[in-house]
Amino acid sequence: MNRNTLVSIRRKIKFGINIPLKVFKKPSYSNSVTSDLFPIRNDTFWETEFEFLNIPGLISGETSKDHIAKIAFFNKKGLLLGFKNIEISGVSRKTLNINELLTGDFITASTFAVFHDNEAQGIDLDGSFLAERGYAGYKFRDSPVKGYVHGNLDAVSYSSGGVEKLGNYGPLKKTYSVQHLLTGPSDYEFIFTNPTSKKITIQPILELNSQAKKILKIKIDSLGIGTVKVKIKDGEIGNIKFKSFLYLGRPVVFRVTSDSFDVFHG
Amino acid sequence: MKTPDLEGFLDLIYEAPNNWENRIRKTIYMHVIWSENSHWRTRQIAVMNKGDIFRINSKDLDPIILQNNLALAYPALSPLAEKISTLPSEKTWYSEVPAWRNTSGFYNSFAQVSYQSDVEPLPSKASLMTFHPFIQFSEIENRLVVLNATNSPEIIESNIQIYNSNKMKLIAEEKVKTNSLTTIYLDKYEFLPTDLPIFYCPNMAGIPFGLGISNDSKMLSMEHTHPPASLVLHGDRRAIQGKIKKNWINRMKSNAHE
Repeated sequence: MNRNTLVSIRRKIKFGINIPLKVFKKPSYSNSVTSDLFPIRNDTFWETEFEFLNIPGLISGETSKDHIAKIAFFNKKGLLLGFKNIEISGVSRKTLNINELLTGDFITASTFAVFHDNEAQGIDLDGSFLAERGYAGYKFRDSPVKGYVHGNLDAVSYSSGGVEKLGNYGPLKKTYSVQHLLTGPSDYEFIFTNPTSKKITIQPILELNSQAKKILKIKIDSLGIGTVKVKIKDGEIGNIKFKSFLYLGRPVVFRVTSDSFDVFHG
Repeated sequence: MKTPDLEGFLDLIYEAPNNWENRIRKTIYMHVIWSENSHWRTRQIAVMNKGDIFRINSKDLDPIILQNNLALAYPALSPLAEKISTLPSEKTWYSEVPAWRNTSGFYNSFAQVSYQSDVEPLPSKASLMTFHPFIQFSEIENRLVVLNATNSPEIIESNIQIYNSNKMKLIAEEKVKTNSLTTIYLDKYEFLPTDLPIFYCPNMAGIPFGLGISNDSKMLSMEHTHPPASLVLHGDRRAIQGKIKKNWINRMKSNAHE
């Protein structure tokens, strides 16, 4: 047996044990459309925006037709609060202020998903599913400038009024190490959404200046959201890991400093 | 990476992103690699063991290393020769779920902006087409930053075309280079909030970023755009990407002849 064959067998065994299924399921219905679950920041000082693009138009090469999509709002426990229709007419881009949509039943929304109508434009995706992995923008304090972060999870799909959870989880706990050096002075927020059908527990493992620091675990309901907050003092550096049953427990990371903030995928 | 008025950084952490896929523990020799057109030059900048961290700041590097505004960091299992003809291919810090990355970005005296970076050498014969929704409209300077790294060290200049997807009008052409980081200033093109620019380079691939710098320098904003294949999930995404590119390129060509 040559080395390449051995490497291939070892890889298959590792994946078979740790990720026996795909990270995200294939939607059950051929006409489904998928979306990430985007965190909403409407707490003090924060605003959330979303770059609503005519995705079917971008696929077909024709964005002059009107296009409709549904935004699904969920509360922090993952309860679907309802849908709002959004429309884009004759142009490719419309920036939505998500906070302005949070009225009435939607006031407690903590995440949203965007489901495009891909049938009106009659595009043939040949077995693929239209996906919204787009761009959320966040504003902090009075800054006129947004920090952007793209969708990273193919969390949910929509078909005929129903939302399907696409995230898989495994039989073994796995540790995900955020590939970012924590530096201070700054306040970090690690925001997780749960795309699986199961309530999950995430145990943070923090090391600051080579010393382990205890942080409480968080529990997140299916389609819910949870945040781990870490304060890093001036002169401290560290790294953080998260242990859970998630196949891919990657958070959106906010790093807030006295003058500014940064947002990115961990 | 280097762009005018900002410094670049790369935070290296010798820690795999997951605890099951790649359990490498060997000492690695961290090199920076940059193109001198006829060959790649390398310089060892650190020796790292499992658990070590190391920050590379552009301001601390010999300016010659960032002559193309881009240097690549490579963790080698043994010291590299000073001159090499192609990029090293041995995968050391490598994983799939997720990809082994490190945080890279820009900073000034007020702010830092980050993204998770890793670069597989891009094919030398490929194209770039991307939709760019990152232009902001208040107290900000908007830039497009294009990163390219290929196996071959040659620095080849190409044109990147800028279109407005709403009108399919060719707005301008700018220059981009292989094995470099190219900065293009966008505000002179006076895009509107409902415009979605398309950047198309027929003969060079690249990773495009939107970079915003607030006028008071206190806020930086950076994110990369997705390739067209990311508009769909599952199935033959490469074929769909081909169709999307074809649809738009046909429109670009037909408008050019109107």
